[in-house]
Amino acid sequence: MSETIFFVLALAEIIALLLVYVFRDIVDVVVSLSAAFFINSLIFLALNQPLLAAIQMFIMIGGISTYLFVGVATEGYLAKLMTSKALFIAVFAMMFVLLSYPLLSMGAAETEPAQITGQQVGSQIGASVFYFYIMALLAFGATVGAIILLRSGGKR
Amino acid sequence: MIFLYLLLLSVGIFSIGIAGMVASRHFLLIMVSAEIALLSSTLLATGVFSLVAQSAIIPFLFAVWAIAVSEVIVIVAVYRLLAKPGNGMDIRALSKLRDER
Repeated sequence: MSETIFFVLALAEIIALLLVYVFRDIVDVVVSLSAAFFINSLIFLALNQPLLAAIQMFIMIGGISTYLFVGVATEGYLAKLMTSKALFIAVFAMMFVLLSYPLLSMGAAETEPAQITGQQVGSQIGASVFYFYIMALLAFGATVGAIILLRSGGKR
Repeated sequence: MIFLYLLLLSVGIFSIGIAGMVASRHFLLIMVSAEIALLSSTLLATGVFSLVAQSAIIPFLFAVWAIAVSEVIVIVAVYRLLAKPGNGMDIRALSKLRDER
C-alpha cells in the first residue's frame, strides 16, 4: 500500500468520524458513520485483505442501519448539539497522547503482508466452530426472550 | 512506516470513540461512539496481522464483530423502553423515568 493512498483514506475516515459529532440530524450521523466504515473497508482492501473488508462492510454497515431506524423513529432531529466540543477535544487529546506513547515505543518490525483467505478462516476457527454455534444460539435465544419480555412488559 | 501510521490511525479512532462517549449526552451518540472504538480494534488487529505478526486473528475479529452487532440489540431494547410520549434519548433527562412507575 502506498503512503499516499493510506493518508487519503485515513484523512477521509477521520473527517467522516468527526462529522458524526457535528451533524444534528440523526440520519446525517448514521450516513457519515457508514461512510467511515466503508472507508475502513477500503483500508482493509489496501492492506490486501478483501475477505475481511467484505465481512467488515456487511456486518458494521448492516448493524448501524438499525441506529437509523431507531433514530428516525424516536426523534429525527437533535434539538441541540449533544456533544460538548471542549470536553471532546480535551478527552481526545489526553487519550491520544496516553495511548500512542507506549505503542510507538513498541518497536515492531514489518514483514511481508499476509492475506487471510477463506481456507484460513476454516482452519483458524475449525476447532472451535461448535462454540461459535452455541454462542450464536444463546445470543439468538436471549434476543427473542428480550423481545418477548419487552412486549409483555409494555402491555402492563 | 505504514504500520506506524496504521497504529496512530487506530489510536486516533479509538480516542475519538472514547471522547465521544464521554462528551456526548445523547444515547444513540454514546452507542455510536462504542462502535467507533470497536472499529479501531479491528483495524489495529488487521494491521498487526497483515504487516507484523502472521497469527490467528479470525476468532478475535469474530468476537469484536459479535459485540458490535449485539449493541444493536441493546439499542432496540432501550428504544422499546423509551418509546413513550415525552421520553427522549437525552441521558440527563433519564432521571425523570424514576417517577414513571
